[in-house]
Amino acid sequence: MNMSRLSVSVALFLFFVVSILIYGSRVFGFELTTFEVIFYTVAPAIAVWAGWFALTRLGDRGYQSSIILLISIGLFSWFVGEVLWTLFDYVLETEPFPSVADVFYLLAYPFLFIGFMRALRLYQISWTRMKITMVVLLSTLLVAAVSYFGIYSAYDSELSALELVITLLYPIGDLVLVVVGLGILMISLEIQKGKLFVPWLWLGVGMFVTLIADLLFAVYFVPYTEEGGLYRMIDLWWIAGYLAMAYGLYALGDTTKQIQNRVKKSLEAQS
Amino acid sequence: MITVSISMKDELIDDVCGLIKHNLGEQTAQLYQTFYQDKDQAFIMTSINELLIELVGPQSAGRQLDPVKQKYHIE
Repeated sequence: MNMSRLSVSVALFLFFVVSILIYGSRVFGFELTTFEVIFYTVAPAIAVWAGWFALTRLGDRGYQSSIILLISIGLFSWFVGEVLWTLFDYVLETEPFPSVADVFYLLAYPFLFIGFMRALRLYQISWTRMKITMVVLLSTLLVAAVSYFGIYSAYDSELSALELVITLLYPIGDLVLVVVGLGILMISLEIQKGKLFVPWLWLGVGMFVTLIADLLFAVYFVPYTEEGGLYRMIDLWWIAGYLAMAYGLYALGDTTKQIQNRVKKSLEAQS
Repeated sequence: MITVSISMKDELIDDVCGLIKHNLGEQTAQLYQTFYQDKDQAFIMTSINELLIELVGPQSAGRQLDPVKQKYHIE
């Protein structure tokens, strides 16, 4: 691992440790809300920055560039959603659901899905019996969890039509995350002996951690929004998801940078 | 004969750099395009094979490189 990647790894790890300490202070009765809000909105911003870093190295053409562009647009959409949610909830102290923040949260899913479809086309997974079994088992488990907690448990007859539609769109988005997460896991297995394994693995981990956060939010929606308290620690899962995806995107950009530098050296040696 | 050979090599470089563009973006592909200009076919094929294996492992590298090998009848 080179120095710049090590520095970014340490910085992301420390960011998460400080986030745990800030949110963890709730266990002792403290509520560092301002710091929580700052760390919660900075985490997706870091992921967007990492996507931008990767794109500056890749350029604007080719499969990988379009995949990273689509994932970055999805992450940017989540970032805008998080900022708007925070603005409504903490600054304006109005009800953040339903609001324009939901539009940006939901907008991310199609971008992530199309990006993943392009990744599948690039890496052409060879479907072995073991991979098919793994996908069937995991997808059955995850789809059942999302359907139960996200649709069945979240259904509330007192919701307005708009609230109900938005409430049901989130689990559909989570089902997209299941597909994307499993697909990325399969891609990682396919390229596990290559340098691009690490970036794709972390992107997959980020997707799964975000999915866990969404499921916990669906299960504890009422205490999270009305009581806060320790339930707000669910935010840590979203922060972890953003940081994992940030590392994946940064590692992809960094790998590209290393190879570019190697070719540049060879060209300099020639001339 | 020489003209045909040069144009085929240019085409091979384009195809190989197309693979690099898909995996590492246009900027990297442009660098390799320059790098391969004075290299022969054998060097180019060895280089792209090693690069793809380094990036995505032997299985995926083989699948990506197969169409190029078939096009130029390379074993």
